[in-house]
Amino acid sequence: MNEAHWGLLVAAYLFLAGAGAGTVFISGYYVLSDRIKQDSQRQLACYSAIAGSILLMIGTTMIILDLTTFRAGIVEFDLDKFFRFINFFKTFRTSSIMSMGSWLVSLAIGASTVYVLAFFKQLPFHKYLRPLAAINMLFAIGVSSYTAFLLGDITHNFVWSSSILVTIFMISALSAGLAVVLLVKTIIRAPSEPNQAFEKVDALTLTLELILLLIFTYSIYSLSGFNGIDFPLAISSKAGLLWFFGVIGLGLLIPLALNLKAVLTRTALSHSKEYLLSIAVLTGGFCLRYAVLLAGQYH
Amino acid sequence: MLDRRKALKLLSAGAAAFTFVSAQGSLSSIRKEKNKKHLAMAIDLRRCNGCKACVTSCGVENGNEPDEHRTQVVQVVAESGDKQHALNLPLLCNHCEEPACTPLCPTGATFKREEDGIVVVDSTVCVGCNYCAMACPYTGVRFTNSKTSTIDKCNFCIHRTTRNLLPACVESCTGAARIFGDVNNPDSQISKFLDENEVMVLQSDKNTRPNVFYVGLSQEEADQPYTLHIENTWQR
Repeated sequence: MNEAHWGLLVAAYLFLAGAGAGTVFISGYYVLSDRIKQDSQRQLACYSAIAGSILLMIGTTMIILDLTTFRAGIVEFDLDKFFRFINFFKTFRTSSIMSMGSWLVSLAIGASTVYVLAFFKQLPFHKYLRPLAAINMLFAIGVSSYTAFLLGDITHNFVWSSSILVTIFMISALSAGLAVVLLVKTIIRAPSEPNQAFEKVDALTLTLELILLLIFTYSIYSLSGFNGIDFPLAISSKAGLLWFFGVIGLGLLIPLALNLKAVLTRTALSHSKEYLLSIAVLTGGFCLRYAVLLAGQYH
Repeated sequence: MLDRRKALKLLSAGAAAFTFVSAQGSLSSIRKEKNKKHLAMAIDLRRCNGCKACVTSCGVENGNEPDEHRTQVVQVVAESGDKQHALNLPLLCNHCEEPACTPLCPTGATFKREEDGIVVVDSTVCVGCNYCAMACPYTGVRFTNSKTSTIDKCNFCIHRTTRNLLPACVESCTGAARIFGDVNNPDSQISKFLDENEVMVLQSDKNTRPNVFYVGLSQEEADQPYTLHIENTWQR
């Protein structure tokens, strides 16, 4: 029987949308805080905006690929099924978070594209770079929280409807955004921030995320006992393995250790460690969404 | 002194009363709009023999693949005193009064019909996002139809019931365990049946007010989550 199930593609969508939103948010912050007066920082903000937009677009592609009609349209060469996803945009349903989110993500992609173009001085959008940065930061907050509200609206599911999940997804989007910006910075060899400012912010974000994850883990443990079901994040399950090793171990503790070492020893991270830190945080961010998705399908 | 046995008896009596009240409450709220047709199903578990004629006829009637079921009869272990026995439990979409699926559908493909209260999925509008399947607290009453590539579920055989015929599962039930009709028509078989019996709904704590009523379930059994996605001893 073709049981309805949310798997890797939905997890990739939730992660990429969050990471893209986080990256655009940080790029917007660079613009609004006037850091872009320095050419290297301007370049970093611009490339981060491009990376964020691309991540949002790839994420949206993932959710379209997950639609059973879209996949059938490809396999059966059926254009009606292939283009069925357009139905998302034939209506706007305030009762459906997914309906509102479809519009929100689409508008966010449009806004981030215009924002990227505004970095080019020869284009007319350039004079609106600051307002566009502010608008995109608002969209980023909307998109990163929407990915949690999408799950949270399923109120009978005690894993997905946990109120703390919205905060976790937003903080995780920010840490993923920081990881993407760090990756961009390392690739374009932009100079490091003075006084390990980047590492301090990253360490603070990761610490906050770790605390929230521990609270979430405990609340799910308590609620599973209350509901008389097995703990869905038990280490013996696939979700639990991803949670404890992928999210907490790889995605939080290792990057946190690297950041703290840099802050305490007052030395900048080497490029290889910057790559390691970025990849670890991003992998952890993906594992977080996938583990939450799997844990929520505990039946 | 209240010993454990007495306490359990009191608890079970309270639970049974609560269930009866909750199911009757659901029923009376449905019957408020007396002039409106309101289709529902009652399943008398005392008469279900587990033959699965309903499963077979549903599949044939709706042209579903042999492993795709809009209804299924699952066998669960029930307890009567110290003894255990197999209980045949027919499952299907509950066509809830307050469905969790319809408001969340992003395209409006899943909706509750005004004229008779049936919850349907329009396969020409559904995109196959599975959000309704995730939203439904009655796990597994939906599946992806391999022909339409969209979500599919029981629709009370809408093509038959709009012509005043019975759903295929009701018509073919060998034990006459399934009773179907308009609960707002006092002369209908289902109205009389619901008036004469203490009925239960599945997982009343989800507050969806189902329109599928059961006779023969204990409170504890009604509160259990069931799914159609189980290994069955035999299939259609």
